[in-house]
Amino acid sequence: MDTGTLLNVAFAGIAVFGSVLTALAFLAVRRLPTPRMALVAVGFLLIAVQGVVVGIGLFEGGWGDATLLLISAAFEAALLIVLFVATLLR
Amino acid sequence: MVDEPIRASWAETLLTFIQRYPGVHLREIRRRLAIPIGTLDYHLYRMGRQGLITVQFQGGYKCCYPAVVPEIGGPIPEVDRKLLALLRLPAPRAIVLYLYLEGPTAPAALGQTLGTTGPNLSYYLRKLEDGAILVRQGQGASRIVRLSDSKQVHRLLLQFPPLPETVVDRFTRFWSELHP
Repeated sequence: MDTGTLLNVAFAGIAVFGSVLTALAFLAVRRLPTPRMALVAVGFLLIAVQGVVVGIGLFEGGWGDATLLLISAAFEAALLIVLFVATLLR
Repeated sequence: MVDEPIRASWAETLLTFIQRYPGVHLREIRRRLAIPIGTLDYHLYRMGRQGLITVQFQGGYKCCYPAVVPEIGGPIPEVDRKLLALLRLPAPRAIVLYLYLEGPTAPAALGQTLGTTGPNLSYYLRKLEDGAILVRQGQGASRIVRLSDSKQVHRLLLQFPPLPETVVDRFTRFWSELHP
């Protein structure tokens, strides 16, 4: 299996599991509507969106490696900020 | 005729659930067992008519109890029903468990520990006080709340298990218990 296929599978997995955790997090927000829980849900949503965006980028093949890396880095940074704020709130 | 076995299976599942978790309310049963509300109402009515269970309104909830509990050798006494129904709700259960484990506590400290709002805490404390489950003592800053009968709480906690946690419950608990 070449690296391109592995990357596709990896990001598809990130999109699927990110979506499952996002759904779970939104159910948790309904049960306990606190700012922290809402931020956790947003964090998982970011992971799912990252999986979809980068997955599409890889699948379409038109995007350069640097662009995909930049998109991934932007999502990771946003995720870290969201989770950092979530740990500060209750 | 074709769906008869399914109905029988639902009734069986429902009865087992009520026997295992007495005091559980209608909406919680629907959530846990995923039985349509109409079907659930029908089976509860039928089981009530057959004398297998009793259904009573408590604090705005339709709570279900088995007609006979083998360990007791009869129905659950009225005084225990009141507490059991409240132990099936998350907020009152948390209050009762905290007071059981930590002893008499100031309402402010209780609200802070449980992470609930003042009005919410006050509402449930009044409900528990009305049910003679806890008593408030003192005035102003020296006011404390305590269980009126901790032996009853101990006995009921041992006798009837809490409702099992769902995936969403575990997720909520995990993320809400993280502290900076």
